[in-house]
Amino acid sequence: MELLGIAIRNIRRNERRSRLTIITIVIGVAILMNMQGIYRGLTTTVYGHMMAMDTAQVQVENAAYRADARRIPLDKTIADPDAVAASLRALPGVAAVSERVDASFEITNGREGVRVMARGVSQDEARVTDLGRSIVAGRLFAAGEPGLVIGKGMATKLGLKVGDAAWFTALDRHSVRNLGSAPVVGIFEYGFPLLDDYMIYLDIDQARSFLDLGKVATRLVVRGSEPRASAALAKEIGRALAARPDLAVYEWKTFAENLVSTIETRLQLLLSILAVLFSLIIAGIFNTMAMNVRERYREIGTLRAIGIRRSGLEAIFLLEGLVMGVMGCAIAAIPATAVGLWLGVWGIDISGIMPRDIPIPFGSVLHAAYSPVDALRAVAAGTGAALLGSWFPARRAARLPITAAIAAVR
Amino acid sequence: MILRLALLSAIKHWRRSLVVAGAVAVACAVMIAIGSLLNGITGSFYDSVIPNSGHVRIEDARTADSLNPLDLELLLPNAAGLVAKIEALGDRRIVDVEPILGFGALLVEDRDVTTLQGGQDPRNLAMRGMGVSPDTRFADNVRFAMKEGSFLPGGRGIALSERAARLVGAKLGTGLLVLVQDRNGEPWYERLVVTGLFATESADFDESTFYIAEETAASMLDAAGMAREVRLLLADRNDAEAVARELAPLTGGGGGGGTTLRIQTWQTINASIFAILLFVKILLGIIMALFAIVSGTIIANSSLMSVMERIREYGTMRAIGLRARSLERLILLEGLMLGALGAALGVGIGFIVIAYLSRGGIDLGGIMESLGLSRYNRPRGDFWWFAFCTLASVVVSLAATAKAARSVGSMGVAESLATSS
Repeated sequence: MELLGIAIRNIRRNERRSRLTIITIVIGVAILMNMQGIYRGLTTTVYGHMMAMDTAQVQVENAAYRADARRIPLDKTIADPDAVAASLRALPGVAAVSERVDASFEITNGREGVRVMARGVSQDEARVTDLGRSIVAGRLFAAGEPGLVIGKGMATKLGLKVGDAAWFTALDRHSVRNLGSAPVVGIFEYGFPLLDDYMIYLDIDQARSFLDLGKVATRLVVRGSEPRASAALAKEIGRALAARPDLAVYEWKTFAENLVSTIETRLQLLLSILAVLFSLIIAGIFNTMAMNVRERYREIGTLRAIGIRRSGLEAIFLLEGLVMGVMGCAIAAIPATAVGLWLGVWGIDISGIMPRDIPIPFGSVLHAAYSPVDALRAVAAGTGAALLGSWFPARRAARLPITAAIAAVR
Repeated sequence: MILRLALLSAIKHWRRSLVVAGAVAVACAVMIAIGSLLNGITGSFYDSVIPNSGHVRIEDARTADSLNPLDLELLLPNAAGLVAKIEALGDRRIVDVEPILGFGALLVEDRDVTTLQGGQDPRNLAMRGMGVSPDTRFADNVRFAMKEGSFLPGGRGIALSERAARLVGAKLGTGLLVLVQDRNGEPWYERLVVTGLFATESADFDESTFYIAEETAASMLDAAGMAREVRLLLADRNDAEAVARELAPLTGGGGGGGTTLRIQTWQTINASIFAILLFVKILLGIIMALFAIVSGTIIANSSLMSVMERIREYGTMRAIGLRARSLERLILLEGLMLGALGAALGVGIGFIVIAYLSRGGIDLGGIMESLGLSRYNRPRGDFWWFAFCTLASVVVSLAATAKAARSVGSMGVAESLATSS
C-alpha cells in the first residue's frame, strides 16, 4: 500500500505529464472497446442474417458439386438424400435438416420475365431458415403442393399477387427446356434485395418432377442447436459422413465466401491499425516513464539508501504505470459506454447510407453487440500497454547503483 | 544561432528526440499507407471500372426499374442512328462512342452426345453476353487479361474466361453453343469457336460475362442496328455532366420506336460504389484523426517534459539576453526539426510499406468483385498525398510543441532560474 501511495503521489506531482499519458491510454482503450462491439454487432447481424435467410449452419453436397457450383449443375446431386438426412438428424447437436434442389429458372408474368434462383425445398426448410417467418402475404406451400413463394421485390416488379399464376421455364437434367406454371401462394420479404428480387421457392417434389431429377437433392441444409457452433457442427457431420467420399460437408461460410472474406480482411486491417496505435501508446508511456526515472535519480538513490529493495523500487514505477493504465481505462469507460449504449440500443440507421444493391445483408439498422469480455480485453490492453511501457524504465531504475543515483546531477 | 541551439538541444536529448520523431514517423507512415490504400481503390475504380463502363451511357429509361436488365424489350431500336448523330457532332471531348449489345445467353458444351458417358448430359452455363466491336475501347479489362488466343480476332468467335471455359468444358479452338432467345421469343443458337481465353482479377466477372462481335450478337437476336446501350468514352471524365446535357436534345426523339432514353454519367452509373467509397473514406479519416491525436499527445508530452526539464537552462539563456519570443522560437524550431525528421522517416517507411503491399496487393474480400472492383487492392502513392502527410506531420508536431513553448516563454527570468527541476 505504501508503494502504491508513492506511485500515486508521483503521478499527481507531474499532473500535466500524467494527464497527457492517460489521454493516449483513454483513446486506445475507448477505440478498442467500441471496435470489438461494432465488429461483433456487424458479424452477428450479417452472419446471422446470412444463416437465417440462406445458408443455415452446415451444408452437405455431392463432392463434385462445388467445383461446378457456378453453373448450378443438376448432374452432381446427392443420390440418397432421405437416408443421409435421417442419419444427420440422429446426430447430437443437429436441430433440423432440410433437403433442397437448386436450379436456375426464368419466371414470367406473361409479359416480362427474369432469371432467378429457384429453390425446391422440403417442409423442413422453415425449421432451418427463417423462410416461414418471413412470409408477408399468403403462406408456405404444403408438401407436394404446386405453388410458388416469391420475394416481395420480384412480386412488385412483376405485378404478381398471392393467387396469381406465374409461368416459369428451366433446363431440366437433360438440358431440355421445360415450361410450367403454378399459382403464387406466398410472398416473402427478407429485406435483402438479392433474395427478395431474385429467389423463388417451390416444393421439392414439384422441383424434382419439373427438372426430371428423381428422388435426389442438390444439398442437405443443417441447422444446429447451438447457433455459434457451426464449425464444430461441420466437423461432427464430417466425421459422421467419413465413410461417404461422394459427399462433402461445408460450414456455411463457404457459401458466403465473398461476404466472409470481405468482413474478415477488414478485421485484419483494423487489427493491424490498432496494433500500430497501441505500439505508439506504449512508446509514449515508455518515454514518459523513462523521463520519470531520469528525473528521480537522486530520489531513487535515497529510497535505496533507506532500505527499499530493488524489487520494491521496480514495483513503484510499475505501479505508477499501472495506476495510469487503470485510470485511463476508467476514464475511457465513460465515452466508450456512451458510444456503446448509443450503438447497442439505437444503432446506426444505415438504410439511407448503404446502397440497396450492396450484396451484404446489413439489415436497416446496424447495432453493436458488446460482451463483458470486450471490456476486459480493452482494460487488459490498456493496463498491459501501460505496464509494458513502464517495465524497461522500472528495471533501469531498480538496477541503478545507490551511489551513482545519489551522485547523479541532471 | 537559434537554429544551432535547437539542433544542439535535439542532439543532446537524442533519446527524447527519437521518441518524438518516431511518433511523428509512425503517424505519418500510417496516414500515407491508409491514404495510399484508399487511393489504390479509387484509382482502380477511375482507371479500369469507369473507362470500361463508359463516362456517359445512354440506355432505355425503363432499365433502372426492370427486374431483368437484359430484357430484349429494353434494346434501343435505333442505336446505330444515335451513334451516327453523336459522331456527327465532331465533339473533341468525345474520344469514342460505341453501341454495346448485352444479352442473356446459355453456353452449352459442344459435344457429340454419342461421346458422352452414360447418363451424362452436355454442361451448360447461363451468362451475360456482350456484343461489341472487335476493337472496342470498353473491354480493356479483358483485352489486357487475355491468357490464350486474342480478343475476337477479325470479329470471329467468342472470348470467355478460363473459369467459364472450364465449367462448360471448352478450350481455345473448340466449339461452344451459344443459345439465346431472339426478340421474337424464338430460341436460336450459334456454334462459335473459342478464339480467346481471359482471366481478370474478378471471379464474379469471369464467371458471368463473355464477348462476341456485335454483328454476330445482332444477327442471333434479330436486333440489327439495335443496342442495349450506347457508351461514350471522354478525354476528360470531368466533362461527363456537360456532354450529357448537350446530348439531351439528340435523344429527345428517343432511340426510335417511342423509347424514352436516359443519359447517365459515370457518377450516377456508379452511385453505389461512390456511397461505399465515401463510407470507407469517413472511416479511414476517423482512424487517421485518432492517430494524429495520439501522436500529437505523445509529442506534446515529450516536448513538455523536455522543456520543463530545462527551465533553469532557459532562465540562464534569458538572463544573458535571449528574448522570450526568441526562446519560444527556439523551442518551436526544435519541434519543427523533429517533426520534419519524423515526417521524412514516415515518408520513407510509408514508401516501403506501399512498395511491399503493392507487390501482391491486399485482399479486400470478394464483395469488391461484386461491385466491379478488383478484390486485390494495390496501394498507390501520390505525390500530393505524400506532401500533405509531411506537412500535416510537421504541423501536428509544431502545434504540440507550441503549448510548451508558450508556457516557458511566459515565465519570468527569476522564476525560471528559481525553478527546481
